[in-house]
Amino acid sequence: MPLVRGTTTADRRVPASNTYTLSHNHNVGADGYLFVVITCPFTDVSSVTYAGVAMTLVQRKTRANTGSYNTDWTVWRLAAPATGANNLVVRMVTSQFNGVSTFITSYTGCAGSGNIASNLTISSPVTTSVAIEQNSMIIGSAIGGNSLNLSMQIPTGTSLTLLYSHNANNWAFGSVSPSLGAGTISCRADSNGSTIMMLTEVREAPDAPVVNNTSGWWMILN
Amino acid sequence: MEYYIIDKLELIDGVLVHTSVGYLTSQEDVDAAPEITTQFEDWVGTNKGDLENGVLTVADYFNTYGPSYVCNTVTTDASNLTLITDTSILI
Repeated sequence: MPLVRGTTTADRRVPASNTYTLSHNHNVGADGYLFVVITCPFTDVSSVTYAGVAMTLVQRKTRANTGSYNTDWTVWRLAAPATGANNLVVRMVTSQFNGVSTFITSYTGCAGSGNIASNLTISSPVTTSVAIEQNSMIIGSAIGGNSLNLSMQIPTGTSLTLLYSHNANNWAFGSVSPSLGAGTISCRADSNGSTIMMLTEVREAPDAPVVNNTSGWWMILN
Repeated sequence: MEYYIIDKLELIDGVLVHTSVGYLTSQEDVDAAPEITTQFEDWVGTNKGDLENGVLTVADYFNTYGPSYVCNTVTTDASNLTLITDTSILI
């Protein structure tokens, strides 16, 4: 079954609380998966649920990792999420009075997350690469110093339409590649400010095994 | 197609609550609606230090200004909501 990206929700808000809730409509399809990228300055995300089910952390770049951006940067996943409009609830360690970016994508035909990569050495452009399997997609996320001339190239040389671009104290932006061939994929993010980058492979579910009905008892008729 | 979700922002029993009331279909429509504001966010930005130190709470905002309407979310599926054809109903 082919990997297909479904509904996308991009949210940027000042929670003024230690929790916030938003709705996302997960579309119907076999092998459904939900991925969430959260860019949270100055405090840490402690949990994420969708339709009341806890999501699993795929990767985290801590506030120490992100250096001067002082941002907790996380990717979460959930297999077989409830379909339809459901609440995503994000909890943080302390109340958040800055902008937080939340980027949600639904998939069908998905086997979950694969390899991850990042480049946290602040530069512009920033590049990194990730090894992926056949037909995987790549979620590319970046934090830049400002909102000017943002771009995400996956693979390098192929500019993608940004699917989110948010003021989260610094500037959070990103996109998702189409399905790509297997191999090591070089990726690039740009902004007019210094930038860091994080990649997450989204894998295609294997085809269902073909039932080969050649075993068992056979009767030959003449 | 992208849907710009409009939330009513209010304080209920001391909890900040976003309630989605419908959608618009462009950022231009959002910007053109005077009922949809960034007043709450602007107030938080101005008073961030006092909020972090507990000198102020978000209740102080709602006691002064009351509920407001905001647009935080853009999605590709808003089938659970309806198009807002007249933003003047957002009062």
